Amino acid sequence: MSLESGHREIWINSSESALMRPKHLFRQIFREIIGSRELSFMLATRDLKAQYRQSILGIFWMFIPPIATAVLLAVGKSNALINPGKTELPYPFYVFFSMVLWEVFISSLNGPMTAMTSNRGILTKVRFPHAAIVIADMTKLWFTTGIRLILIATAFVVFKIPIGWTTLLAPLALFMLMLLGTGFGLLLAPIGLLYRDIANSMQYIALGWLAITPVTYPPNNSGGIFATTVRLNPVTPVIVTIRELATAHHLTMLPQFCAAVGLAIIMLSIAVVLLRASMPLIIERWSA
Amino acid sequence: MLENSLESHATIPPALAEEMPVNSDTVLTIQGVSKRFCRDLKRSLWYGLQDIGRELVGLPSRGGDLKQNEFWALQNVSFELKKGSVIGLVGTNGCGKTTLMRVISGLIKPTYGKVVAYGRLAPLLALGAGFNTILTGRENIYTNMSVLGLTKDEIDAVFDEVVEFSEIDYALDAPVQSYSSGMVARLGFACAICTQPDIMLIDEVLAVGDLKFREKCISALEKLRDGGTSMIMVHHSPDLLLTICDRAVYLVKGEVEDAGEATRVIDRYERDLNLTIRQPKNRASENASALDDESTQTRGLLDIEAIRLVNEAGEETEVVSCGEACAVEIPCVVHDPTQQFNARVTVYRLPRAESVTQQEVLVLSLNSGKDGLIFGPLSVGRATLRLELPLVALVPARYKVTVHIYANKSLVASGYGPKFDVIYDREGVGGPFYQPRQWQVQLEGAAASRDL
Repeated sequence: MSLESGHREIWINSSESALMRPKHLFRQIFREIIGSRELSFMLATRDLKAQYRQSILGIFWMFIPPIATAVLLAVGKSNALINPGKTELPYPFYVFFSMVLWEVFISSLNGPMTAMTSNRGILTKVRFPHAAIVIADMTKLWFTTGIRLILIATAFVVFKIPIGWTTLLAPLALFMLMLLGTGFGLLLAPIGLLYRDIANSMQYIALGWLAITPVTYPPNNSGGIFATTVRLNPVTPVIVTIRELATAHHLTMLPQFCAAVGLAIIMLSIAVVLLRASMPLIIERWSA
Repeated sequence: MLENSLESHATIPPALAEEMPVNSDTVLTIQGVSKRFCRDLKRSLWYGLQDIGRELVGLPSRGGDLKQNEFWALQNVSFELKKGSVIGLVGTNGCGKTTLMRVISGLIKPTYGKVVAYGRLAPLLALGAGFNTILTGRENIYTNMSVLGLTKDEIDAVFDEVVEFSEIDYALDAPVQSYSSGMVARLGFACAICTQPDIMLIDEVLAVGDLKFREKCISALEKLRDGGTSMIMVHHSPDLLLTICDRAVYLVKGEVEDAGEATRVIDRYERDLNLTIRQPKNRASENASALDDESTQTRGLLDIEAIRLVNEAGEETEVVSCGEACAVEIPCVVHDPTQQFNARVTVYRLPRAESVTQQEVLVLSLNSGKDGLIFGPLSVGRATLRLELPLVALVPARYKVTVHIYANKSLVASGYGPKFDVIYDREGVGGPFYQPRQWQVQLEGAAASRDL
């Protein structure tokens, strides 16, 4: 806990719960998030530089997974191996675009936990705003997504997809998708950082989640249990809305989209406090 | 325990402490800090989950009972750190030094009690936290220092200083994975000290690097201290601690066993380790040092010019025979004619050259004050302090000697003396200690003697 007094910074590390003084806590968290912009940026550039300096293909690694999936599914569909139903957009484009969005979601879902784990070395040695690590991770994701946008733009041209002024709003909606993923990821992080079970089950959770999200198939409005599950999935309206915004389609799930954004904000607020309260206890278990 | 701590907090209710006007000299207070740990990992994780739950609903730590496999790593530790003061933290392995450092640095929460720090705190619990070995030295300076809390502009301002101190300018743009471990340590240390912290926590990190760099680090720390930075230091060498620290805290099983003036506390710790030779206790001087809490750094009152070992003939020497007389001569320059001084001469046995596991051992610690010599006031100018040893009783080995001079219980000067060898006075004599001796044959009568 900290508070400023004149020019001297005062730090208090006490046994009492940080939540005993919520007003102070929120002010402090807010100040930390604002104050850690530079550190976050520094950490993000450090990781990005290190990541791409070690590889020949460099940023092409970002393009390979969505292209591979799109090609695979397009071949599958044309040979009638799978039957995803009729999509308004050309199917290869549909899958490719949706897969990029899905990857953004999954990366932001896994982000908080992997970022914390990979920064274990600093976390157990230096006290600094932990939010910086999460923000740095989101910055990295935003950067990689930005590069993927080049590929998406190419795909728009190749498939002659119509665009409109709403296309410009799509990145904003994409940011909301990232917030939603980070919200879920941050809520899971405290348990996930203590017990490996969460990290181990993450890929199965992702697979199951993909199945109930209209990524490889179009959303439908039938009343079956599966269709209802898909509709109740908070990721569905966000992905559908991004797609519709980008392709100048009319928005079919706007209220649900707004609800999902609200959910993301509530989750993030809870998660930030949760993280704040649990990190010292997690660090203690990491280093004890 | 409290009467031993540097400052008692018994009268301050913890809840009020932070609102109280703080003595402007105090930069860090540790108030009744206790920490409970669990030895079993699975259990520890489960307790961790429970603690998170407790924290979220705002409950305080659970009661003082210990569950299965739990133990107190720290118990009711209280002391205070003043501006420009350096506290040495001593104790055997596992006594809670590192845990205390982690609580002070804010990495982990205490089970009870609190730590209040006024100012920027730089923990040197590991050098180069956040270094990425793929990236260059230059890039790592920026990330490391921003983790330590500096803005980019602040780093720009001290960047040259960091490079100069670390002496790695030739490798600045090479990846850190190509550095030697000494270079990484130098870079890490340079980053840490250039953050200009108010409080520094130094946990054994001085053990890295070559001797020359170590000395550079020590003098950099001394400079920081003289500039007003306070420190808490953990190091295995009492010699080094005595060079830098003015106070010490001695932990035994997580509790403060003793706290106060560095020489006295470290002496006591060494005695407990059975490293020092038991000296008769001088009650009066012990009480005097315990009472004196207002210790300030008083460098510049006196300088040591040299430390010489001389033989009976008064010639400088590096070899002394057991049983011979010798003396340590310490020519000094006195700058302050009002002060009274006392000197401490320590002798360490050095490891044999071929040994990699042996460490230097403190074998002799002599304090002129405790032997009744407090000298001064001395007139400004040169003076030579002489320690006469009428009979060298050290066993044959290689030794080194260090000298610390204090004025009013605070260190004013220190220095390393020469390394020297002690050899047997005769060949074919041996034993774990030196025995002064005389051989005689006594016969029954004078006549018989003549017959022999």
